[in-house]
Amino acid sequence: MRAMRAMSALPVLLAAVLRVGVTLHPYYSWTSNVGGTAVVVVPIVPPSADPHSFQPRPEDVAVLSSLDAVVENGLGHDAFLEPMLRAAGKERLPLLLPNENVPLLPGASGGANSHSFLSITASSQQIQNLAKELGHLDPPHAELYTENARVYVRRLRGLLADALRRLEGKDLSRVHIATVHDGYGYLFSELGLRVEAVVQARHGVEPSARQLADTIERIKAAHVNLLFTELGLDRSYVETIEKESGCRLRRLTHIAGGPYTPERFEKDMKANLDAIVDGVGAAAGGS
Amino acid sequence: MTVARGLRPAPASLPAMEAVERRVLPPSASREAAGVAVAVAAVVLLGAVRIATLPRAGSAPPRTAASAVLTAEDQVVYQALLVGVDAVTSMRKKSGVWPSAQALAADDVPPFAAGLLPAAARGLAWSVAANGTTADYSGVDPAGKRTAFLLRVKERERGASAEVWFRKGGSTSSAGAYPVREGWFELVALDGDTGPRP
Repeated sequence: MRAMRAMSALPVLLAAVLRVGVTLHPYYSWTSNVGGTAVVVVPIVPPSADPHSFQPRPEDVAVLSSLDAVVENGLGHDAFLEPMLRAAGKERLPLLLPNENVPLLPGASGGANSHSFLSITASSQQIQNLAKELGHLDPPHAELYTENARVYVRRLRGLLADALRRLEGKDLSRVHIATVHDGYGYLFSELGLRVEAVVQARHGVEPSARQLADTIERIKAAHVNLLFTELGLDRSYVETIEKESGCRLRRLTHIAGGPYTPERFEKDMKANLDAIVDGVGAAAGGS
Repeated sequence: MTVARGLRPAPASLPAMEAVERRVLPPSASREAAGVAVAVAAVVLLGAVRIATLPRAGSAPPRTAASAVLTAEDQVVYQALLVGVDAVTSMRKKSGVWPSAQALAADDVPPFAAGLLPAAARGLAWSVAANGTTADYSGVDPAGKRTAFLLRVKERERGASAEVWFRKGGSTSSAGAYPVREGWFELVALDGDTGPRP
């Protein structure tokens, strides 16, 4: 059904500038970089809200009325969008689906892992998809979108190349990784790193004391020596794990919440890659 | 006697019934034959439709989902190929010729540029065989152990289409014109999904 709606994204009679809504922070950065001056990008989730727990207000629904299209994750990460479209009477609004034909990892709770934006390679494919979708909607600017996507993907690829170069020669057999979120699987996979345990499969749900104790036991049993937590996660929770399990701790960002900027995705992904390279270096070197 | 409202009491005596005569004609041989013919035609038509919509073993290539059959490092190669199609078609458009694997590597396009892959995913030797509007980019392990890949890019009137094929267990030679006959499988992104889009 969503695919049919995406396919119905036929060229529309447009004003000079296309207004495209986005549900997630990475999509804001991607669409801004690909669209350039031909697209105005409109966040649907306010900067202060978390998409995992977003409850739309009437003013959020009203934003949809001015849009020509909306970029949708479509894998469950932005399930709030469909009810919003119905409430706004915009069921026929063209959907741009960057995840179309992207190879996806399985999710912790069944279905596909919806965090495909937490990867340079998967994001590159999505950015190319987005450029094509925008070109279908707005043919006069199709070449511009394609070229902008190419330049942007090249820049992102540079981040990945730099991280891979810095991982060269590290003894990965000494590195045993766990994360607090299964969404980072895409990122570790493209770096050739294996995640041995995910200690909190569901975002934003923190364990009970008993679950925490089990988690620490699992980390010890898997000989995990490097744990990646998330920025914004309850410090007492992760510090307890660090103290009790003795593993090193590094923090990653989910790229959710906070200001929407064109640079945000690159900046946060660089921070993620730096945290991984630094953590792996320490765990491999035994320092 | 209580009489229900709205009903008339039955008359004391009923009139004698009259016999009804009805002529029953013998079945028409021609009408029966026509009915049988219509039924047979319907069965034949439905059968033909069913056969026409069955998957054909000889023409449809076996397609399989990447996440189900590839190792983690092979999935990295597969995804890099999907992203690389854009660079291939862009260089083709600019120069008029299909870019060589070396040219793509020099332009930092993975998986042709091994430095942009994790160490475990490296080691395939890439080459191109171009034939007019089609180019086959093959990545094979010279030792014949690693999974071999084929990226087939076809130039279309508008844009290009691409297929990714693989052969597990390795191959020291590139796939021919009909990879399915040589034991190669086409990859799709996810079960039930279509292959890479133009």
